[in-house]
Amino acid sequence: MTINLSAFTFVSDLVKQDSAIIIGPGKEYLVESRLLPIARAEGYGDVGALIAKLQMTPDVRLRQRIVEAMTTNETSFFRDRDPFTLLNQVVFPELCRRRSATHRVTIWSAACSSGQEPYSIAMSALDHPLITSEWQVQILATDISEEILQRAENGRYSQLEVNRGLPAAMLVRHFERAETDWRVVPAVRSMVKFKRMNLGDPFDLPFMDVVFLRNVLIYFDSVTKADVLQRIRRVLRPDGFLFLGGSETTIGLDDGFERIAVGNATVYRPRGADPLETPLPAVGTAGLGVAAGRVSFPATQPVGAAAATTAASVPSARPAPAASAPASPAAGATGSWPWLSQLPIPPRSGPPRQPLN
Amino acid sequence: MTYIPSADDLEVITREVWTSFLDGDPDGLLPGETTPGAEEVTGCVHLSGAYVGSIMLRCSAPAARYAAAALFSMQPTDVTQNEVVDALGELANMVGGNVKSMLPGPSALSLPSVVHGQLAVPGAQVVREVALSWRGETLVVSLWQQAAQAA
Amino acid sequence: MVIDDSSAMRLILGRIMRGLGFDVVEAPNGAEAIARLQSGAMPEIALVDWNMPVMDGLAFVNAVRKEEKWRQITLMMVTTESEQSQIVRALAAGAHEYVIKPFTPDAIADKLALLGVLAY
Repeated sequence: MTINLSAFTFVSDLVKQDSAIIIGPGKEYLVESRLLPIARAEGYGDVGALIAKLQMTPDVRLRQRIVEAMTTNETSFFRDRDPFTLLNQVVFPELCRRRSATHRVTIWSAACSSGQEPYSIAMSALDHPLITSEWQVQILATDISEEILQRAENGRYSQLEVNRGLPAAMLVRHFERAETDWRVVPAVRSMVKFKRMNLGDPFDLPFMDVVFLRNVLIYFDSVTKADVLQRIRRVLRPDGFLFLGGSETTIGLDDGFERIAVGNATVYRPRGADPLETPLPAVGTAGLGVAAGRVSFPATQPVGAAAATTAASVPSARPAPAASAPASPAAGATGSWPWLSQLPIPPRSGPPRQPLN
Repeated sequence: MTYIPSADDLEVITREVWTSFLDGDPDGLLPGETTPGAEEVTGCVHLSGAYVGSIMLRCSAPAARYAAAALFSMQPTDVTQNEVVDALGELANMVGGNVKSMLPGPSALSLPSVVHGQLAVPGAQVVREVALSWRGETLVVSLWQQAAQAA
Repeated sequence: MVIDDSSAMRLILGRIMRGLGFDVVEAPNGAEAIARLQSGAMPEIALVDWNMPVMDGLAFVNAVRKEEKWRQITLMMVTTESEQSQIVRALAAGAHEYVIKPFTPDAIADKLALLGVLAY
């Protein structure tokens, strides 16, 4: 059963007012699936009844729950992988050169949802060979939903969530068991500060070296998109970096940014920024991926849709098998899995990282 | 004092297994009663090491058939004993392994065994138990511990 | 290659892998998997259960890693063993990735992408 047009319009208006996010026509199924748990929890038979109640009697709490449910992103650790490759191979090395006086890097994960993105950034920084213990990497993670922020801050993820996208070596290094869940260790949690923020409101933020604003613009109309990008440019340092979602771009919205693409991965910099000192990885060298390494072609090529992607993107996404073939079983183990030789990893020493502000 | 997973923990783990492989619907498992119908099937794995005991998955015969049918993508009416034994064994293994990771370690997990009817482990007692209802059929998950260790 | 003593699990994993474009061979334990390798099978990747009769998954990983000729095989544990110490043991033995049961098809695809076995 799908909700009727009047109920759908009511919800999309309400979400637009409170979050600037557009729920386009044809997304009835989305409203239905996101709101069904709330309807059940509130004791309504279906989503239609829940909306009818809210249409008749305003209820701030219920309204906020609905907006939160409709604006929460699905996410996973190292989502899309490519941005984290660029982060590791270009952005961190570049910032290590440019910030060597302060040893301080600030990163904003906007619309961080349940926290996988900021923690993925934090883990990348901790594992990065250039970011030694004298560096302070501070990550600000914001979201519109108070409820999801609390979850994110807690840093607890179910087995099913840590199975997604997270390399096993990172799971054992940066998480600990917490009953049936896994919890991000304090050393990683302390690098991230969480704060509630609506991207439609003015930003009250320190300068940022890197901004992750992924899969957020897609929900906004083009006026809001342009406005958000322009305001991000004001908090982003002139030599900083902006990551957008795979289907998003600044092109046609804000020409204050220029685009750098390496293979499938894209990052934006403010126009006029000093040229990068870090050489871009050659297309084809992509030890891409957070796992940086274990790569050889399948004996059987993926078929269908996967094959199409493969044909188009393999040269940029994977090295030739010979390049990664380990020289001996022992070398293979460490060569193909850089962290293996270091397992298990003791807690990082050095001064604790300071939270923002 | 070592941590023993709670009945809630057993339920969370069972729910994750059910959601992943049998149902896709987290609400598919509801609180239930502890008395399955006359005919029962039990899947069991034993733990030995720092913790000595067992994890049992006891369910009604129809629930066992539904579970096997879901795992093997078959019609419940086409399911044979072999599939029921394989399915219940693997389900007990998945629940058991996850429960083990919450218990004091190291302990080793046995290969699963599956019996028709109830299973009693000599010298062991139930320390945690949760009763669930799945498609109107009963499912009981229990954690056992050797009496000598429990004392 | 899908190595698991449960035929239900072999069916589920086999279906996921076929859906991703792989040809699949199955083995119900480590010893039979080794026998298949010895008779010439050279899988791109092996999904390996831990607890199996005759030869368990950890022993299989150790056996494969001893052989120069099998170095190219990517090894991914798919098992209910979920203590951190067990994951470390498997990685140290030479497994490249580790998926904890229960899993969803997406989790398998994600990990294969992480390993570079599958285009993202």
